[in-house]
Amino acid sequence: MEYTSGKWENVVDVRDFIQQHYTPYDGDKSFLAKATQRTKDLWKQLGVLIKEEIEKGILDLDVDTPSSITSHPAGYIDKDNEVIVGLQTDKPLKRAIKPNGGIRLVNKAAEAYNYEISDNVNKIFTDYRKTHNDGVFDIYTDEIRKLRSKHIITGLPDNYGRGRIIGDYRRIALYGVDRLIAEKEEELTEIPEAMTDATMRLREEIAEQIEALSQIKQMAGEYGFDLSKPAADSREAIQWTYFGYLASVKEQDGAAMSMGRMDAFFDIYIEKDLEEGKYTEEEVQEMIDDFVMKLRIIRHLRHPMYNELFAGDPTWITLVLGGAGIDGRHMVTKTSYRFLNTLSNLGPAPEPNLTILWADNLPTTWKDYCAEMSIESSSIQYENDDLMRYYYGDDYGIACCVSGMEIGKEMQFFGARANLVKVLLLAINGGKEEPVELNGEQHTEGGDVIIPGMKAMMDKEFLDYDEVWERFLIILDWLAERYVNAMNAIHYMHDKYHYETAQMALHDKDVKRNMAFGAAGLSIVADALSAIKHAKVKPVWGDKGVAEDYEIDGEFPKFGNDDDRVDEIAVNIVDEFIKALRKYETYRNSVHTLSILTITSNVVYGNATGASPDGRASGVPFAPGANPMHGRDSNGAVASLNSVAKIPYESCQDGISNTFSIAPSTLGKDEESRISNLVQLLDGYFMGKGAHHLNVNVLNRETLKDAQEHPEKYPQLTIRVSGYAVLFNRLSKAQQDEVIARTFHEST
Amino acid sequence: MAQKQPSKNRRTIGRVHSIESLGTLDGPGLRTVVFFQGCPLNCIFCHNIDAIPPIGGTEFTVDELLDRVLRNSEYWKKSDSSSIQGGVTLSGGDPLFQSNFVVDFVRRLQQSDTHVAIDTCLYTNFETIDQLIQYADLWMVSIKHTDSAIHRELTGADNKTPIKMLHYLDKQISIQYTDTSSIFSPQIRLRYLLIPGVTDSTQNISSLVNLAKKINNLEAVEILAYGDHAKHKWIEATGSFPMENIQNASDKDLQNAAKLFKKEGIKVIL
Repeated sequence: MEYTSGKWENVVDVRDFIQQHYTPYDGDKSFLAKATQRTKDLWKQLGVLIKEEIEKGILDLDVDTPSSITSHPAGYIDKDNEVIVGLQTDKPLKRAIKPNGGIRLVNKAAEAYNYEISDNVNKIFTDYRKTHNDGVFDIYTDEIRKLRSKHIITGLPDNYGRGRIIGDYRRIALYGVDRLIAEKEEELTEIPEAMTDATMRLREEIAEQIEALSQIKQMAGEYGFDLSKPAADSREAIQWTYFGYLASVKEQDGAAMSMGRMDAFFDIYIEKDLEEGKYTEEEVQEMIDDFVMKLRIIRHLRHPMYNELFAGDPTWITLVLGGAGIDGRHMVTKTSYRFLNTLSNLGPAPEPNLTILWADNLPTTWKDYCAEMSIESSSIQYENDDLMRYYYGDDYGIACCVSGMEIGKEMQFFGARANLVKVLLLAINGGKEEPVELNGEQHTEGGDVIIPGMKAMMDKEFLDYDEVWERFLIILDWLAERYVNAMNAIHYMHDKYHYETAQMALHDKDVKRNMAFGAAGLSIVADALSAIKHAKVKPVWGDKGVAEDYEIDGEFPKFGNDDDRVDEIAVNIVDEFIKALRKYETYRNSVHTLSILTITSNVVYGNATGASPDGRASGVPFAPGANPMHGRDSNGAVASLNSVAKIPYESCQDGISNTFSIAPSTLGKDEESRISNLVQLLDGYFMGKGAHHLNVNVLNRETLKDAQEHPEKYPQLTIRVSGYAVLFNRLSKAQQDEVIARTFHEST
Repeated sequence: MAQKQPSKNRRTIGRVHSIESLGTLDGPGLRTVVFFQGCPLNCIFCHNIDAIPPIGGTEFTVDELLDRVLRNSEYWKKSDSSSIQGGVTLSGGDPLFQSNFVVDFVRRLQQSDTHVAIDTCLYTNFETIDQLIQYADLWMVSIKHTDSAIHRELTGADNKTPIKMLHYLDKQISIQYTDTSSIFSPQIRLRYLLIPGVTDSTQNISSLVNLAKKINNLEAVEILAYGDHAKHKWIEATGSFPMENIQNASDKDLQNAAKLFKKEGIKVIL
């Protein structure tokens, strides 16, 4: 088989190459190969190390060498038995430091695990070299600092890498590094010669990208590979691609550094090699298994506090599978199956974050296989390809959990999230902070002025819906302006001090930049406003002139029951928030987007938030993402899904996360009906209702309770939390409790 | 008269105990299960005891209930085929306890091309069956016990009426639908709760096999395992639990019972 010539030869266009060559697969899973002894042995070796790592917190840390693409020599797990090679440092699971993000946090994180960063590194990054973190705090206003410390905006990437950028790692395999450098040099000549802010910045960035590309070549050289030319077969294609990713995670430790879309691309090389008899099915499955093993041991140094926001040491190496093309052909290939098969061959695991792009025209065999693996592993998330294809075409990936972006052409400025419950409480309390109790102890007295010049809503005994809504919008707008300012500051400094040279080298010259804002606590605010509208809500005013609690008299509709009276409130909130954000100018003219996603920060957000008018007590965790509040969705799973499906993607183009847990016995009486019911549920939710995302957990609450008490019995128990999966054993007790408290759809 | 009918629909009020939007255990595929309030029987093993009284529940007009369940219709069909993979199940309580409302409701459901299952004990009358027969795709008929005296002990009423109605229903289906070329052909599923020491003797099962063999429009026999998960509801409502000394049915119990049906070539759902 020879590759047909076309557009992809003349310009860098991986999509064109894929579309011209990939083979859609309509068959079933029967061709798949089991793990070979070699694979099992290698994974077993890693299993021992991973166990030790969980016990110690981190396995090892290089305290002397700030990480870069070429900082560390070649590293191996078991050199002679690896099919795909490459580690971030010289040893598996040994972590490296990336002080360009901020030296203070690196020191704190190292100390938390009883390591000490070398004096030399400290001296360089204190006396000579400024970091991203320093830059941001040089220009932050007092008001932005206050919004951070008062937990109104939390999790901002101002002291860690922003991530959420997907390099088109496949370009290295398809074109070889020399061609990519030549293309970048050509791009330099296309930039106008007039030196303006924009052209100077772009020239410098491309110069740095070219440098990164030669470093990638150098890094691969240490492993004995010459990346100057394109990959010649499937093993090289996977290896070349992985080197691109490896370079990125050596240079950066962004929160979520995702993988993109590999299945149809790898499949083209694999199909050719299988046809020519170069490799067997067993051998190509070994390559995929090895590649996935490598992704499972990517590590970054994180402070334990970070774990509260993003539990379980996640890296979000999100890999999308399947989907459909704009020409109407589905894009499921045998390699889509091979990737899912790793869940059988290696057992379930959180990484890579396997994400099925669900489309109407996917083959039934594939839909069934996905459902089967979901039921078996609770490790898969689903996103609506028919919806996203409209926005991103047919060569997009997912960064982190739910952020769609066209590969190599689009990136985002990640912006964590704002606490919408606090916005509502500020509206009621006249701009003053609410008191917070956590587990019966006073945490925050309340009464501090956040927004001056406002009065608490004390005039009437009961809250008036129209008045509260009007106030809510005013504060939402007030916050939006400051949120945009904070984001502009962060990303200006990130570009300046911690630019992603390797990842951006694998992008086009002119990328589309999104600025991804986020919101937490949507279901609580919707329920609170519904209570104010449909029942009577009386604030209990304390000495500080702020409400300490709320008395609710009467019933009110709650989000998660497919009841338009409250679901429309939730829709209005997101519509108004994105509208407010769009009023304020962004850095590099990036496009405002919004996500309804919390990761696991719904627990800490709730802990830091006082009682709310929906009846939620002070300190109680929020529901994750766009989920209805635990236990309030009382009409079954479909009604709950229908409520979330109403949140408009148009307003929330950075994604709407829904995490769904169902007992196996509720999903169906037997394996066969469970599979067909899950497929139908996904078809109904995505194709029928046009929803965006669903995490599927098929397990019993009792299993989780047992795992909490006997972690040793469940070393690989993996669950979907919020746009990603975690090993249950890596969650804190509070996070485990929250996951157990979530709505489990079970029949009685 | 014809003009008045819609306004009458709107006035008919149904009492609904609850709605399960993801029903996978009461009929084929993904179903929305409407649990109606009120039941003519008083089974001591009832797992929905709070649905027995004729009062309480939430009031719905036919239009309101229709709007509620049809919101889920996208989940009932496979996207790549027109075959029905789910629909609406009417359960309770017993849906036929509110037969006027239920007749109006299922007529409207059928107009919207919905697969309808009725989960009932058939403690009803000829007229109700006559009215419903053209709208229900699957009759899930619970046989509580084949011995009339024990039936009375367990449910407060003998089983003569339900058995008579079952045969009437079967006969009417045969008369009205079997010979036509219509794609609509209602079926009957017998449901049987297997309670160790109460309904699981070989004699009990054999007489049920005999009954099943007489049903011409039988889809299958579904054997359900008794479990004590409604105990807390009973204690809350009445202070005691009549099934205190009864064991839960095991998988093995189900398999043993199923064998007796399979031997006679009867399809069994467990």
